Amino acid sequence: MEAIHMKTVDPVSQELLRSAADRGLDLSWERHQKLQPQDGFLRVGLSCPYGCLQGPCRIDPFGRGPDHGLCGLDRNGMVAALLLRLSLIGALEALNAIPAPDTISEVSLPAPLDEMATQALKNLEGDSLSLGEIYRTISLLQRPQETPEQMVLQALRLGIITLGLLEQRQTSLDAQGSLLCKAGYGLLAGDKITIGICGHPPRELTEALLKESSRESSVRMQLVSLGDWIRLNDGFLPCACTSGEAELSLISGKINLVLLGPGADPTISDLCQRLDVPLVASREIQETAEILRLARQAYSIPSETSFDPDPSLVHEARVIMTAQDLEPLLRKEKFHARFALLGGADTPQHSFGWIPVELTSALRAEGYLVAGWGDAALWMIKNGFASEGQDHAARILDEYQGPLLALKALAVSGRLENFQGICFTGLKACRDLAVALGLAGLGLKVCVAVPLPLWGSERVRNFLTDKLAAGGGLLTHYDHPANAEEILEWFLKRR
Amino acid sequence: MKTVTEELPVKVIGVHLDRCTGCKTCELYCAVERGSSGKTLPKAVQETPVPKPRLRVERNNDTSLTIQCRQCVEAPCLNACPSGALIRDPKNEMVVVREDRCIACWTCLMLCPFGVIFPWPERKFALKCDRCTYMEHPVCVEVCPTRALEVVDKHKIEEMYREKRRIEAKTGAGSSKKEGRVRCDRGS
Repeated sequence: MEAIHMKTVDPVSQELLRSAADRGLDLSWERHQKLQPQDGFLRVGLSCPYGCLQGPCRIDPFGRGPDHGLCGLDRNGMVAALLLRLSLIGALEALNAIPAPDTISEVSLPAPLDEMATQALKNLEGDSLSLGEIYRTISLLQRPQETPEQMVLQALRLGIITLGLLEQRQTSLDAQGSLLCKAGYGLLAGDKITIGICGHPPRELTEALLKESSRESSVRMQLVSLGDWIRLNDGFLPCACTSGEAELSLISGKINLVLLGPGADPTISDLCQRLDVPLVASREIQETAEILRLARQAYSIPSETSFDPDPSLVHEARVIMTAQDLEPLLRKEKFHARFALLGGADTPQHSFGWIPVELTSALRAEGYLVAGWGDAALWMIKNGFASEGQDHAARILDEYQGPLLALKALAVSGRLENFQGICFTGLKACRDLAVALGLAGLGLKVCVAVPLPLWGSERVRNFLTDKLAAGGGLLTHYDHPANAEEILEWFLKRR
Repeated sequence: MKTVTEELPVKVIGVHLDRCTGCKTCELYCAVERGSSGKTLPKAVQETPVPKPRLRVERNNDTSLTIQCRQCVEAPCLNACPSGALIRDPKNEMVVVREDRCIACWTCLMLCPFGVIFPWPERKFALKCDRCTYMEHPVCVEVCPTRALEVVDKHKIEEMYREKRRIEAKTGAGSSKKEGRVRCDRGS
């Protein structure tokens, strides 16, 4: 436990980590440690991820072992094919998030980003974007015959398609206004029955539970999210923690029942079993009365832990859902104010919260206006950086729209030139990588704080850098988990 | 010539054949830790000359195993080295290469009965496993995802094999493993 600060920067999480260690519970950090080193070939992009069933083929980066895959793919082709595959999965994830994907044929970006997209597509050797490119990419990856350069270009085009699909999702949801969200361990303070929600159960079920639980009873009942952004009709479900800390919130003994929806990590159900926390899968039980009965029953059993956080450890912020809501806020700032975007998931490659908390503080001290999404945004809320009524409060953006939403608002308010860059603090889904590629492809400055699997091919790295530079874009990535100082320097260099 | 006596606690890297999957993680990280200056994989792959490992994963039919220097009691490489680059470290009885003295004549390569000394022409010295003597644990043992590699007392290996054979004879595990090609069509 001497290196506890290397695991998370949150003092409450550290207390819970100590408790977990005392009880002999292995959490994500221990699993990460046991997985070291992770597949070295894959880390540098030299493992062909089952495009066919003749592999898996791997290329020896040090030149003594195999230098080609079974199909003849060399190291440059393998790295490019892996990048393309990750980008493809990202685009499919974005497509899957659209309520009616089969109604879409063309993909486009909204004005004023459409002009940027047109310019970018000229640079990326193609015209308009269509969903057909996704299917063409699938066939391309069955037997990669294109040159590595063509595959990198296609990965960048898929990145822009991903941006278009995220925009399409927003249009179909018809989101308006900004919504409130509370976050922090303070939500778990006091004596109440708490139902934790992981993943994304059907909204109707969550709303019904919320309504039922708010009825008068001897003990107060509440629903909290364990790190997922769960949208309700009039706001977001309060988040007790970030997604990386979901296991810790279970350790606290304050969660009486877990409602599991699609998208939750398997570890949650394992941990619930070990801790005897009742677990309900939203696909199995939809009866609210039954769920509440189980939660009350679990509450009546005394908890083994004495964890009781300070109730003041909770902050509230407005989550901006559309560019129209962000634009007036931007206009309030000085015309020359600089903007920085931070977003992404917790990653065990960094101490949880370190990059978002350090960077938000440092950038605000340098006079930047900071906006965030994902786990990074939850860290901003938890630390009070996004609370209303303070100067240059950090702005919280819709998790799906994230940087795209900010860019639309900046472009409309004519402040795109003041935009200093986007940092992805951690990548959890391929969608994040595809978005990063798409934004860099549009000509923006993007930085990824965790290593990308591109180090196996200098040719691919150089081509990607040159191609992005030709369109005015930049994708900075590191051969190590970048620290906060490096990323701050990256932002400051953009001034 | 000094010989290793039974009393000396010579430790070598043993391989559990039933656990080795031939993933080459040991090879990869040996090259990174012992052959590169960057000491991380993404840095090492960018270096020139290309880092080289001191062990090799070989595959034969259904079995793969890591082979590295066996630290022979009567080491032919040691006796043949014309420049005195190969010595036996008195502290731990490892055969080590003094890289500054190696003249890259590759005599040791030719005489090694296990083929576990490798040339590094770009750096002009011979590479061989020295069990990472300066580290707490050999890097290959540390990184092996299935724990197939283990540092064992050389004199206890035969004892371990005897015990293993005894268990296999008792349980019949050895014979069933040889037959062990499984068809999966349960329920058809």
